[in-house]
Amino acid sequence: MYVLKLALRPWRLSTLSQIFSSVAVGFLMLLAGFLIWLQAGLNPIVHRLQREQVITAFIDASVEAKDESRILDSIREQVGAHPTSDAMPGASTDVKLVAPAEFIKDLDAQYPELSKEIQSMGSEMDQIVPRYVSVSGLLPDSAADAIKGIPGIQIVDSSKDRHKTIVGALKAVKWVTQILIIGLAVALMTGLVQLARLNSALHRDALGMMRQWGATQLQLRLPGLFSGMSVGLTGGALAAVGWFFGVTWFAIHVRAFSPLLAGLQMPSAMMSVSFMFAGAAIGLMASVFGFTSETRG
Amino acid sequence: MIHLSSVTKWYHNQVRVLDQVNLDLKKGEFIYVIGGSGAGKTSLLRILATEEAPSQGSISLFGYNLATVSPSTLRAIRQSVGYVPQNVRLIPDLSVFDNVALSLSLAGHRSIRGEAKTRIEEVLGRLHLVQKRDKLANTLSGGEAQRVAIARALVRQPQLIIGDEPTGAQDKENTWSMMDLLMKNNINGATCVIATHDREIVRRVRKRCAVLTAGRLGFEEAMCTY
Repeated sequence: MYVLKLALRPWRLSTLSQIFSSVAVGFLMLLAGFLIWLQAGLNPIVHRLQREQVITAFIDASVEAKDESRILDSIREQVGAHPTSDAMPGASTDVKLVAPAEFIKDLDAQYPELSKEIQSMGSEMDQIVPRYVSVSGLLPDSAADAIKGIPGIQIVDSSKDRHKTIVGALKAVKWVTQILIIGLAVALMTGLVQLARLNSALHRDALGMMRQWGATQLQLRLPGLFSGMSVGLTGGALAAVGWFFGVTWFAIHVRAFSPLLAGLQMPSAMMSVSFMFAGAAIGLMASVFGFTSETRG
Repeated sequence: MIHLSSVTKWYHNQVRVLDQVNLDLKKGEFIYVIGGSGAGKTSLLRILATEEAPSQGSISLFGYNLATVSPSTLRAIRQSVGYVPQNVRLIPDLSVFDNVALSLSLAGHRSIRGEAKTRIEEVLGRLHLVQKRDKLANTLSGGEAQRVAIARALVRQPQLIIGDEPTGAQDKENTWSMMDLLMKNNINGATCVIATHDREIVRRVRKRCAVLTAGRLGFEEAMCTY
């Protein structure tokens, strides 16, 4: 009990240092928490962008209407979405033939003038209006090439090529986030280790007498360990409060930046409890490294 | 109990503060260490209290050679020593009671309740510190702080009491209260090594004297007439 009383000495002797350190610990932990959430949330988005594709396969004008179903079957087979095989991995893949009439209908809804002009061309319209197969879903990288090889397919266009720049940007954000998390962890530990060193200087006189009275190594280390833990715990508590009240607001704003980021999962407010444990653990660890019970004698 | 053989001590400036000191003390003995300023009294007492190691020579306490003793035995030896340093060294932001209780808890009393608490109250009472029990150590006068340091040393009922001018800042009443306590502990079997400048104490409480002169233990006589 008296050893624990000693642990609170730094709060009495150097109150401002302990308070500022706790606030800094809390802020850095909160920041690290947000970055970890962002980093973890980007993973499924990047994964989805890398796997999910919309392939548009334009059918050659020379292909007759009766051969369209054969081409459709071939595409399904290539991407693993055969209607007779529900258990296949690509069963969720959507393969759809967009006929000229359907194309014109869509065009009519958006550009009625252009639609009328094309329809007035009569039989020549078939040479202009494309027939294509739209394939969407989680597709393997080789899907576009495989479809390209099917007889009757003229051109294949994949959304994957357009997503490349976005995926690259998101990967860079993830990479920077990881570095920032490491930097924050190093800053956190360095700050707390320095504080532990300051605290061990504050404890030196007491530890000298305790050693003289026959204190064990554990008894000599406990005040420093508890001092560090108290600062870490206080910082963790501040971070927990910040997380509990601020995380939803923050997440809503981040998700609003782009429809892509809307896929980020909302963080759990209950995570705030883990900040307390993490703070105490970091404080304890920093004290193990930084606190020295060495005294004269 | 205490055996010093050719103990020599020097610090960084190489000046010998203790020079070939030999001393033997049996259990229950009481000895004054006297000598002028800079004679080496504090160094000798710090070595006896295991706070410092001699530069040369050997020292054994309770039959253990301190040069070869294991850390756990050294801790046990320290738990049996009640040391009153010259500069008292209280923990300033703990109360008088907590300073004394911390000493007792480190001597093996995990819980300061019942008999342990009574013992603290008793020692504080004998040293006229009851009124000050809840005061922080840094609010005490020099004399009060010195009495707390003595209470802290005696509360653990040590087998060896080492005092470095423990009555230096006391008035007469408190000086004799402290001497009375020391004598009671001595009668109960504690060995006492007390450094003092107070001639009146030495004259009235006649015990063996070790006289240090420029680091040498010049003479030791049965009943000193300092």
